[in-house]
Amino acid sequence: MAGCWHWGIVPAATMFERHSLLWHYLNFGPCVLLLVLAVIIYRRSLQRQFPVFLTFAVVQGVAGLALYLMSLAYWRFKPPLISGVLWWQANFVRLLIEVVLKFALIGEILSQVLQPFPALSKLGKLMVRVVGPALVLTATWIVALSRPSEFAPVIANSHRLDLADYVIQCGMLLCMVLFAAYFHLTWGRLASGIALGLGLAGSVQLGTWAIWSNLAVSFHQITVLDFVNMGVYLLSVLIWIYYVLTTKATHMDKLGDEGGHYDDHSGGPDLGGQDSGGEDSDVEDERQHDLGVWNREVERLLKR
Amino acid sequence: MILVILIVGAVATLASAAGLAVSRARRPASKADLAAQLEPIDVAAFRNLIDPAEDEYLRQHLSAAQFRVTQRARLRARAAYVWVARRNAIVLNRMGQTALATSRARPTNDVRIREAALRLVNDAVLLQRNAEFALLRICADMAWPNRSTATAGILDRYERLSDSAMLLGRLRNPGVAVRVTAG
Repeated sequence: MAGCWHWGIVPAATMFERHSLLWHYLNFGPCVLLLVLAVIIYRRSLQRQFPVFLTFAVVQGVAGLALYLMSLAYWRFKPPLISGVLWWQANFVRLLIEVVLKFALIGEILSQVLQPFPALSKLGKLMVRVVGPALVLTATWIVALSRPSEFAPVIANSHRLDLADYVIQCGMLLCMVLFAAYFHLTWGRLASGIALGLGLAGSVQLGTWAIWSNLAVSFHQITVLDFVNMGVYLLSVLIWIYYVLTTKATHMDKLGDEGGHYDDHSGGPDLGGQDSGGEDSDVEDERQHDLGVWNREVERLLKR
Repeated sequence: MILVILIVGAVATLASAAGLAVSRARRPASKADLAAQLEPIDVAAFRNLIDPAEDEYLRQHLSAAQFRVTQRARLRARAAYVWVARRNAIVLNRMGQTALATSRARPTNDVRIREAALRLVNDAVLLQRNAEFALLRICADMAWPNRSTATAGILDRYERLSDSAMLLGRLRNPGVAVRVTAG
């Protein structure tokens, strides 16, 4: 009876071990939820505004499920149906695709944030051109200086790619948030939700990878860090689902769409689409007005 | 060292993501609150301050030392005007973005209000960006007051921004016009 206080119904230690019920849930759950997310995006017609996000959800969900099934094929069968090396090779390929998709997604978020501001699009592109290569160099430097891996090359390469991925992802997100904050740009609801999920997952995973690749950690500690990463990833997917469910699909705003042309004297071209900005803004103080009167007012002002 | 850099980067990213969520959750400032933050600029006085002919007149009628002292005072005043213009641009940017969000949420979705709001936010961010460059140039001029930097572009852009704000203000609310210039 006394043991129940320490162990509960399920012994706590076994929950944080590989192939526990929690491990299966944290591996399987986000993949299924990502596919559910993709369906919701499609059903709510948000893929027109965020096509890369839909692709990201589908590819991440399918690749995660494939890797989960492969790990089951390795652990559940004697002899294993696949080799461990094959699993790590598949994981490496998934990582490469994930890196490309994540950067495309960050680009999509940036284009959404800057879409109503052709005047800033040139500056935004310049920022990406400067910060992107700088972050790649920084990531390479950090990976080169990290502790040599005691794992097989295929595993060590996956770890290095993961670390570099999170360095660049966090750096790009940070720059994007700072850029938008500096110019007081309003984020669309879904764009901010996607960035929040990416930022949360990226920052926690960068932190755990930093510990993993720079400190001598035991196998048990690695497993616990793995659980932290998986838990945070699940939380990020739930955040994305929440934001997708609470965002309405709207038209795209682009200055000059109605036949006009916006001259910003800097030659900045337009970028991408626009998700619904702030449906929660103060609508109540808007007044009904007489269009004829306004037409005259506009003409008078334009003739000044 | 690397560990510290990575942990700091991770914490900064987490904080910025959290800040993003918090800033979205906060209720936006009302039009009245934003309008109260605007500080009208005396355009005629500003124009006089940046007039190259005035600089030339002072240069011809003052000794070199007197000119430097006077020019530094004029540059400080010029910087104060540019700073206020920048701050007004930030406020007008927020007003434009609020109008944009409101126009999207409305079933009628008035195209002209949306166009006017888009023009206002773009003019505002351009003015903010240019004002910051102008402030840097004015700081450099303080060190060498004999050279004169053209800040006329800021005034032209400010007047354009003022027009955009008035247009949007009149479209949204005929009774209350947004006023960012004085004199």
